[in-house]
Amino acid sequence: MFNKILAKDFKGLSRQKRGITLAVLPTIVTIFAIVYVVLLYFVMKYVNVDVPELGDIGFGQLNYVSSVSMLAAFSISYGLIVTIIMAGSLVSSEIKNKQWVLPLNAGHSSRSLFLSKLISSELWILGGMIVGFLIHFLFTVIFCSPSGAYVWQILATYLLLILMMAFYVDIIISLNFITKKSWIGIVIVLLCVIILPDILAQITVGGESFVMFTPFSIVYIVSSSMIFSVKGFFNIYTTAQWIINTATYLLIAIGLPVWAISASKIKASK
Amino acid sequence: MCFSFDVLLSGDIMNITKAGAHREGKVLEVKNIFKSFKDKPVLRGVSLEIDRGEVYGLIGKNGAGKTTLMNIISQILSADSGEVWIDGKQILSQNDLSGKLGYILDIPCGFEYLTAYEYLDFLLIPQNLSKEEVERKVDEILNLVNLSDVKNKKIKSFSRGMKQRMGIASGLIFDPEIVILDEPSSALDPEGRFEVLKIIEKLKEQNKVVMLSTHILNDVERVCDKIGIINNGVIAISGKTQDVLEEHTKDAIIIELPKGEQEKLVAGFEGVKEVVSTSKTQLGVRVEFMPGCSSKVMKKALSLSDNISSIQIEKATIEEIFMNLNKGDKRNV
Repeated sequence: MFNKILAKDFKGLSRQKRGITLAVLPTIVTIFAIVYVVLLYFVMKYVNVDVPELGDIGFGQLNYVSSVSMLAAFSISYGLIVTIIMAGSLVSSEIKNKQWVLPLNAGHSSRSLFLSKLISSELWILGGMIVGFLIHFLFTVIFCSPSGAYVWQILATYLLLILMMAFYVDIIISLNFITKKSWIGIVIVLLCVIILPDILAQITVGGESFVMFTPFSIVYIVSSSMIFSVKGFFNIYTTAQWIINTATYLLIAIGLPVWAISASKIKASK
Repeated sequence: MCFSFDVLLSGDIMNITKAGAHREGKVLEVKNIFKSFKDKPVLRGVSLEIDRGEVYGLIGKNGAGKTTLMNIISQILSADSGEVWIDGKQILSQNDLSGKLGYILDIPCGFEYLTAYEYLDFLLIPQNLSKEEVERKVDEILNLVNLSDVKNKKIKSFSRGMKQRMGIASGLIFDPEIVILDEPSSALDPEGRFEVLKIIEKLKEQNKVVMLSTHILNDVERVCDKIGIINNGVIAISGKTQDVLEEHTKDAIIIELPKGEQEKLVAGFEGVKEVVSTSKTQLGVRVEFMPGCSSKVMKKALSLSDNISSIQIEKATIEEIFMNLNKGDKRNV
């Protein structure tokens, strides 16, 4: 029964501009990231400009680190923000337009309608990311040099980006369902993406930044290319971080939709 | 445009509804509903009852609170106070209504990216029917609202009238016991409107509870057993349609007679103290008189002319009752 509802929502996203945008967005972000990497490479090569900051991150070179870092930066900034805005009214717009009235009358539960919307959106975005990352992967392994990095590190970055996107899409759709107003969820999640990590970074625990013990640190882990430091990636400290992060991630990613289902009623504004 | 009414007469869709449809008693009870929006009271103690097999017409000006009341009954809006009962059970959430009530909105908002078939199939999911059964039910209901030829077209491409018919099909496909229709024929042509009325009459035959909100007051007179006129947040006039009409019957008769006799009749009524006024019409003479004097006036008319072909007591219409209520309301303001 749920599969049929899911199929309906999946089909719905494929037939609506918003759904197509959500799916195509990772590909656009990927193409932009690739263009920037290539652009910076040629700028650095043919224009004799010394930008030490770019050199630190590895930009200006065609290697795995610069390619993946640029993708992560674009995904975390433009990709994530646009996705949040696009997904921020998926549920509330249908409720506001009273599209859920007859399905609820017919015996559908608001729980299945909400979960179906959540899962179909996640799957649709995941599909888009896989296509985008495939393009990026082909570009990286064909045109970029490893320079000491490994293919598994690229794949691990993709996985982290997918987890990050799924996390925020989960939060935005749940908040949208709870508040029934798109702007509230969008503002809260954008604050979580833009401001909260900075605030948490100011707090130190045992000499370490507290943000690293929250799921919001995924942003930092990916963007700082920490993943490319095998030494930094596999020690007791980082393992503890990963365990706490994963636990908190799961708690929020599962807890918020469960709370939304149990606390939210479908009501019209007038 | 026309609906296939024959399908309704023989189709399984309506036969299914007969199960358990012969119980008697009040199915829908609304008790003392109050609702305000930002301190502006919209409903101030609305109560009504609808029995099985009855069609209830809800009338009121725009903004009178008809849709608000329907939203509250459908549990998509919370009342500030008051209760909704169905089949003797208080309704507290949408779960309590599941499968029992079909709320057909004035501007039906389905998932417009789906085709007509896909949407109706989606609404039937909770019934767990086989594919063949779903196809049969969908075909029947689409035939009923004359949308069979666009079964596989997206709802998005439909005209407003088609969407309205699609809304009716959607509200009936899962066979609810109570059907609430908010302006179901506002976008339909006269033929389509007529067919909607036939569907409502058929629902009544099936012992369903139907609540209808419309501005087309002739429709109300035709199909509604009971009416309620909402004014200033309360049901100002309510009761069985016939009783309401009789209660508001005018003290006037129309005497049908040849044109040449009209002057004679009007002159004959001059000076009769019970007669308030006389006026000539296309068919004869209209005589307005003092309350309770109808037989005296009729006898006088018969004594004045031998060529009278008929005498009719002038009936009030719902429209006149509604307009008078609003006039009174404006005067009070």
